[in-house]
Amino acid sequence: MTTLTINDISVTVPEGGTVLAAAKAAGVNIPTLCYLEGLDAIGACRVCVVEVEGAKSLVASCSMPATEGMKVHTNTPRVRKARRTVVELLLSEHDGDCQTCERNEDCELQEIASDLGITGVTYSGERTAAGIDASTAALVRNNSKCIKCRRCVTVCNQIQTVGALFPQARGFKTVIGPAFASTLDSVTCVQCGQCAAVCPVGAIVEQSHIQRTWDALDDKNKTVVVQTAPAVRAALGECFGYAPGTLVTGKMVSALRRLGFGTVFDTNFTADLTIIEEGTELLMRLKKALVDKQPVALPQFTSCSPGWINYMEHFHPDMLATLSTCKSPQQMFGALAKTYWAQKVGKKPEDIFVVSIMPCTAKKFESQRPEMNASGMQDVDAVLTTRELARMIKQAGIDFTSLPDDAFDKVMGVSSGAADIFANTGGVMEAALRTAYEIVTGRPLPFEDLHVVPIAGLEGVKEAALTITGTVEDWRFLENVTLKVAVAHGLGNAQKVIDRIKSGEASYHFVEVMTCPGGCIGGGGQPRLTSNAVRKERIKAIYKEDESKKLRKSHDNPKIKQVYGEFLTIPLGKKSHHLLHTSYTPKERV
Amino acid sequence: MKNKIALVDDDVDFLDATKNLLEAKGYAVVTATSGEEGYQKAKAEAPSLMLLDVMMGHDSEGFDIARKLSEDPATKNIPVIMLTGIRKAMKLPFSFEPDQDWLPVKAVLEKPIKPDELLKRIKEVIG
Repeated sequence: MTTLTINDISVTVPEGGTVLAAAKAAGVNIPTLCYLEGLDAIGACRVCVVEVEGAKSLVASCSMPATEGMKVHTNTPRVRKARRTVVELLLSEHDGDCQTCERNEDCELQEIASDLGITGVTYSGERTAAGIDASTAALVRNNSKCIKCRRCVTVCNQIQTVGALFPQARGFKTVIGPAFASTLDSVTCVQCGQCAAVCPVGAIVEQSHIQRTWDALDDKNKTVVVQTAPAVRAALGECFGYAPGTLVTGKMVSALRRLGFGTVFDTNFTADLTIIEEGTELLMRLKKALVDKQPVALPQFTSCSPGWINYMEHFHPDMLATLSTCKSPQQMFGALAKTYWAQKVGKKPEDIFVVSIMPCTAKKFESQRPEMNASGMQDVDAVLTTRELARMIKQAGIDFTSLPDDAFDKVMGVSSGAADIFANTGGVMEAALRTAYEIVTGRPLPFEDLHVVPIAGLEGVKEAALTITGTVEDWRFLENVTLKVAVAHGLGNAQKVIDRIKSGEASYHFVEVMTCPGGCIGGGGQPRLTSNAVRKERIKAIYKEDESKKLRKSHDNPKIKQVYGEFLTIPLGKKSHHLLHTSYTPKERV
Repeated sequence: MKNKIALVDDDVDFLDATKNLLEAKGYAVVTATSGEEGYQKAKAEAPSLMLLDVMMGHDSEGFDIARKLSEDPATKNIPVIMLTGIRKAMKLPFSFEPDQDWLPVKAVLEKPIKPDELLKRIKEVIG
């Protein structure tokens, strides 16, 4: 342990920590613009400078190790002046159209400028040239707002190992962006939006689908139906002042109705359907391998996360057969809404407009993939992030906090707790095991509360092995088979799993990958800024939602039985194949 | 007067065996080998109960006929018991149950049918 003083407050912290962390432990807030918890210090913004007794110059607290006996001062005239100067210089370059910026009142630069008491423009000079890059379906970059903090570079390279963004040139001419300062669509970007989730300003944001949603809601000839992803209900409240981890499912449904959505459904319904289809697919692959002794692609990787699909198509085109052919719950929903539900309510697919509320930016891209038109037209018409939904609620003058609770509409709004946990890392695997184990043995998963503890939590790669005994007749070939599974979140961690599989170091039957750290609850479209503490609270909320439900397993959902009985007939059948399954395309890595 | 039961299944052997069983227990039986024929006989003969298979001409034919019966004022009061092997045949990860929204039947029994169980259920429905 190391003992030091911060502003004369004595604090003892674990060895190897930074002055910034020690200050936090002492209850002293040091402003930062580039710091990201849990990652190598970037040290680019210099806003976190402090004075250390004995040191000649000011030091950046995010990268300065805390040492024994150190005396740190964070609030001296010298520190205050330096911080002000740093921020004033940033403002001199920054395209500060705050009133019309998407990040207005949600901007870290704005907040710091206010905290530091900056009330006027001290330096006026050359500004970074405006350059809006809206070349991709999910993201919009605006270099004139970029403050070169390099947070996006860090997440894109260290966490996601995609490497689409990096700093080029030096000094005032520095540009953060794709290679050769080209557009994002010219390089391999998986559109996960983790860059947009950590950007402190408005330099990277999602492609807005708000206007097209208002247009559809205002169109008398359109039947507008909305689906909400499980992760949204555990985070939307943060946009209205609730603490992270506050479940706002009922208020969210109320808000959607007041916005004018005639039918409010739940992506959870098709999450349950995914489990039936993907679980059956896994069991069929295992049968092919163990009974028919035919070559089969194992492990089966989950396919719900569109950033991960992009990653596989670009980085591992040789492994596409391992991906489950199941569409994501979002796309299964769109396909069913415009066929099954359309028939039920006597509408044509072209009269129905499907809006998704997603914690994700890559879902915008996914909805526009050319093959996602099983209904004969684009199955999902607009995708709003959690942040965009909050903006629409504010635009409509809805007082979110005073809303009563409301419930989803029937049929495609009914779901089990297994669908809720699709929101977090380990959840899809647990949901699949709850169903697959019961199919094979006729008994429920033998764990307390049905939770598979080894694959829960925020460790990057998690593994579990489950030996199957007491199988029922149809699945006797799985008797005494040890089912090996792995779970990874964040593409860098997924890459580690692939490396281990390719080197022969590990082998699995089933692997869950979620693109974003923590899973969808930490998605690129969630309220900013998502720290690990926030992730943990949102995950806790999701498990609470799961445990509060009478239905805990996808195969118990009566509405899933209904959709098979009325329409699909059987898992992996002809209709399922057409509406619920897809194929993947090998792509180049640039 | 004997209680009349309509028995609808495309499996002729099953039809014969079940007919014999029911007649031995004192029921009158009318049979049909397709959903549509079963529906027409239900209208013409007004049975006290229908025993209905699921997978006939198409895989969910029985489900469709059950809904059609419940929507037609002439047949909506005829109780239905489904007799089906669909779960096993299709390796479904769940079994179907009566559902007020889409499967308006009194019970779903899985094949192979145990005679005692069938007779017990029939008694529960029509006495």
